[in-house]
Amino acid sequence: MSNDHISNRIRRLRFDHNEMTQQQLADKVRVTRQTIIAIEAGKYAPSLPLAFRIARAFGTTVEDVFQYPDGTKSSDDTRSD
Amino acid sequence: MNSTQKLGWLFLLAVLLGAVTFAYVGSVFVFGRIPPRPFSQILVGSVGLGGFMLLGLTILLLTRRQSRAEPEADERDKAIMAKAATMSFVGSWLLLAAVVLILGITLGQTGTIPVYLLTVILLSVATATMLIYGVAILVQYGRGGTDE
Repeated sequence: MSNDHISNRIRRLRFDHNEMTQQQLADKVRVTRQTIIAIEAGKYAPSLPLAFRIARAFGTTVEDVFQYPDGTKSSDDTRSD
Repeated sequence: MNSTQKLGWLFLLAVLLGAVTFAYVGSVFVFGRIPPRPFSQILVGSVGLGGFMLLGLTILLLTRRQSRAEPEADERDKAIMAKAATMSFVGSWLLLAAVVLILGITLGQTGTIPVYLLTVILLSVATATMLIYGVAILVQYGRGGTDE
């Protein structure tokens, strides 16, 4: 497990999506509820596939869900093409 | 509690049960006979064994999956199990090395140990391996959270 402090907006997004419970999100992304709890609390950094599954469960991008402190770009910055 | 956490608890229970059995069998070896009043001890032993089994069954039955869609183990569980396996493997070798070193230092080059002590050492290391594995799993999970 990684010690990188990746912050996330999962809690906020859950409430924005019809007050989705941790169990409902866990079922959607095929992990256990404990894993969702650990990710929300920043105790576990998910793999890239899981990060994508979580982002898709909320219909958004990975960078909108997860933020990495150093060199973080907002989702708007990435769409500079 | 998911299946990996149950595994951790079961390992701890198995170690505890193994320790009790080992202590009883060991006492027979050490004292050379079954201690007095065997019937009452068998009764106590049976009740104790039944208690352990009941506890194990309770853990298994009362902590079912909270959802049908919930997997038995996900990527975090697998990472935790892999780390626990590594810790128990390293721990068992360190323990074995420590025991051999202590014996070597205390007994010297010409010292001897009874043959049964080798079995005891190996069983103890195996038990310690299970203990480290179970504790490592449970420590990595830490305290569970509540649904919000």
